[in-house]
Amino acid sequence: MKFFQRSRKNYKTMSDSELVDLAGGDKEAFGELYERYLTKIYNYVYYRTGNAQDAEDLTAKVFFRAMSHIQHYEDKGVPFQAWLYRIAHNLVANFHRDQGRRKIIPLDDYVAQSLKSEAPDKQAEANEEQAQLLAAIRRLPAERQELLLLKFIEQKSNAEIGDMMSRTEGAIKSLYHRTLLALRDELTQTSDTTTLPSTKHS
Amino acid sequence: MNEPQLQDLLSAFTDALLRDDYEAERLLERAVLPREAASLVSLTRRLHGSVRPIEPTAAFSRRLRADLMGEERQSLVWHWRQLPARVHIATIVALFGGFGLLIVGGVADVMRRQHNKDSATPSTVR
Repeated sequence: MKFFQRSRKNYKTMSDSELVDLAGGDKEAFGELYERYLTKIYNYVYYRTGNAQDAEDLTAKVFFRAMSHIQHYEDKGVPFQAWLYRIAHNLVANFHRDQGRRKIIPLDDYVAQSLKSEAPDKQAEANEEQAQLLAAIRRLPAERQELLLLKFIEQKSNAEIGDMMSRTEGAIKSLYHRTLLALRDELTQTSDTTTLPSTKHS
Repeated sequence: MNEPQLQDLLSAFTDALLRDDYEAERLLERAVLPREAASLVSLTRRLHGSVRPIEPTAAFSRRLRADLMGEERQSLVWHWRQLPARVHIATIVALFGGFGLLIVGGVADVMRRQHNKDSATPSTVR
């Protein structure tokens, strides 16, 4: 048995660029890249679409597209991960463009709405606050959403985010500040619009 | 506190928060926060609490991997192709050796039968 195991390629220890070189003709190499980035891409798409079903559909599309185009990928200082995120970004943009035409309510939002009335007060309030925050994030421009997801989900440093978004570390720091300001304004507007009718009633 | 200083503080606070809550609080204790920063620090805490990594379902992960790898992965030929050259050579040698042995065995059997037949014929005449 050892005879077989020793001769097999150890994909786990390979770098991304080694795997990318192999992945054109070796599906196992692509499988390893898939294992490395599935959760990251899924999170990115999930937080940008707001529901699990769309996140699964788009994540699948991202990996199918990556697999069919991997032979065209060239490492020009842009990490493979950034290339994968670029594909995800384009597919999410297309998704939102189509959604804009169809105006479908995301399922998770719908479920959250229906659960709100059933949950105890404090929990409902916390759920509502979280839903508002996530909705406000989704209203930000794409690059700002990306920045927040890379920071809070992937826990990347400003320098790493700069590499992925082709910007300097200083520019990311500044963008992060502006993103927080924009998000705060979004949340203020949301709370103003939600509290306005209730004050009128009382 | 000017804008670049505020940007530095927010970035440092966020990085510290992602590493360790206690470290982030220590950082704030040392800094003099302007009113503008207080609301942003609070928003950062909210983001840290709400934007958490989530795992795709195991069923989805398995299904997508199987779809990406395709049916080819399941075939015996595909598995054989993944083996190194020395295993290919060993397999071919074993196959030819096996066939050789079968042929030699068959020929020997035919010859033995012929020999038995030849030696048995005079005794029956007797």
